[in-house]
Amino acid sequence: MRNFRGRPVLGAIFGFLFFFFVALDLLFFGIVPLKSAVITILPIVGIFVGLAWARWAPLGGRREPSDAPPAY
Amino acid sequence: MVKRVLLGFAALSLAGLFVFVDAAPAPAVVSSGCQGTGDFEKSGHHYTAADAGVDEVPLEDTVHWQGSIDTAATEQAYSGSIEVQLPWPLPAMQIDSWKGSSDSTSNKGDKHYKLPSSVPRNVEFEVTGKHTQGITCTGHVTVVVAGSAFDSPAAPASLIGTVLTGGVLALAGRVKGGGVA
Repeated sequence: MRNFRGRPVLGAIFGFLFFFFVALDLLFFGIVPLKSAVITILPIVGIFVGLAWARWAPLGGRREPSDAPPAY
Repeated sequence: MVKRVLLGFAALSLAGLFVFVDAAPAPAVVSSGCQGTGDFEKSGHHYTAADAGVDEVPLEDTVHWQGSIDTAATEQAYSGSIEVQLPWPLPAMQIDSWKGSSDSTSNKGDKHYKLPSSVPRNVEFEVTGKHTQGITCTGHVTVVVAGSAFDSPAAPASLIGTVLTGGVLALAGRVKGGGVA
């Protein structure tokens, strides 16, 4: 857990849900047929994407304050 | 940075669409020894067991159907079932089955059906069927319910779900406690 800069539990749960809804979008808009395994595989992939997203955590970080005095 | 991340997600999603699009749908196939037709009263569609491609059916209609099997016209046991194929690893869902004994080798009738309005439109369902009566006939057909995605509440609900869960997923990528990057 210490390797995660973001929120891994939130990332795993909502990665699953987000990719589940993406799979439903693909189904309901006629891009994949009902029997396609993409519908069951995508949510599983979403868990790992959510974890990777939480580990990377590219949002909300502040820059290191500079020690150098401002130049006038 | 945020712009680059969003651009990356967009590119990934677009690529995913092309990767996951399946090949052209399989045609209707019925093994030899059986014949069947269906005439849709309102939509005017006429489908046979030998049709190729996707069969488009309306949400509500009356079907004049008939079928026959090449077997001896003597009293014998029969059985059969119809299933809808679900995504792997889920098992197929049986929607009807029948069994009994008969000396008839053909049948016909009229069937009025009305599907719920929540049924998603333009989604390909693969339906498989089997009938055993002396010989065994098997077949499958790809069916779509006519209409556009937004004729059913399922598609808008799914889109809303995508946006909401995508928003919360984005929050998982925020640095905990607003730490230093």
